[in-house]
Amino acid sequence: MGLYILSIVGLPFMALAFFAVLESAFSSAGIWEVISKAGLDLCRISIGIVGAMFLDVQVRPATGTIAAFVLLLELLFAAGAMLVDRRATDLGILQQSTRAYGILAFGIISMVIPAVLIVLNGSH
Amino acid sequence: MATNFLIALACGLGSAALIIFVVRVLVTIFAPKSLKERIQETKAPFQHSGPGRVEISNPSVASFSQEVSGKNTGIRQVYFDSVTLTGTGGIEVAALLNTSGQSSQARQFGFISRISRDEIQKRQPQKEAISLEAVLSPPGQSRAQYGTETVHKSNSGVANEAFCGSAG
Repeated sequence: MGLYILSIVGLPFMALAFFAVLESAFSSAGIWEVISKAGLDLCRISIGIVGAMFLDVQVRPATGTIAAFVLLLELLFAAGAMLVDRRATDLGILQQSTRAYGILAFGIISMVIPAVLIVLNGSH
Repeated sequence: MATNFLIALACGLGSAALIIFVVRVLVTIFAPKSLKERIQETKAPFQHSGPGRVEISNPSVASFSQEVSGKNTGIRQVYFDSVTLTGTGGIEVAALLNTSGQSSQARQFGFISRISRDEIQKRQPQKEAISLEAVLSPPGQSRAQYGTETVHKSNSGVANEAFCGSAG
């Protein structure tokens, strides 16, 4: 359980911190742009996790259906993050911080979904 | 099963909240002014390069230009003093204006106005030369000095032989 919690909490946060620090070091972008990009990166990473997750996670009744559902859910979260990123003013978001936190929340929640599936079903 | 699900969900959402909270605390400590930054408009305003001389010789293109500029296209101000569209048909200009979105339309308007100024500059000396001929020579005359040249009579002694020809 400790390793699972580390994989849920620790690794995304460390990856986020790592890429955010690198982005801040090597580009002149502001802090909110760095966080927004980190959130989008989390969405992409979660899609990659789902792509390889079902080798280990065995959902007995209908693995293919659930895998497709989870993958589409991840894609929807990524699309939502991109929507907030691109059309923030149309959505009534005026502060850069609100937009960055929204994108980051989309990224983290999309990372949580495969983590929850792993915790529920275990792995071989 | 349900207990495991709730535990996993709580861990996941808690981790999300924890990460956002940590980021917010860090930002509040190290960059408190950035919390009040507002989202900037990324659309670049259209910049007109200056008024140019406009001649629209093709009526279909003229009506198309009026139609486009009359719409609410997002272009702040488009000045058409003149457009010269020699060698460019109305369909080509319409396709040029209709290829992309509004901002690119604005750029294409600027492109057309730049073309027109260059075209006018090229045509300007030619226009002056034509106008000199037209002013000094009446239609049907090829020599601009007509009326100032002295016409000498021939030695045959026949009056107006130079104009009427020789009787012999």
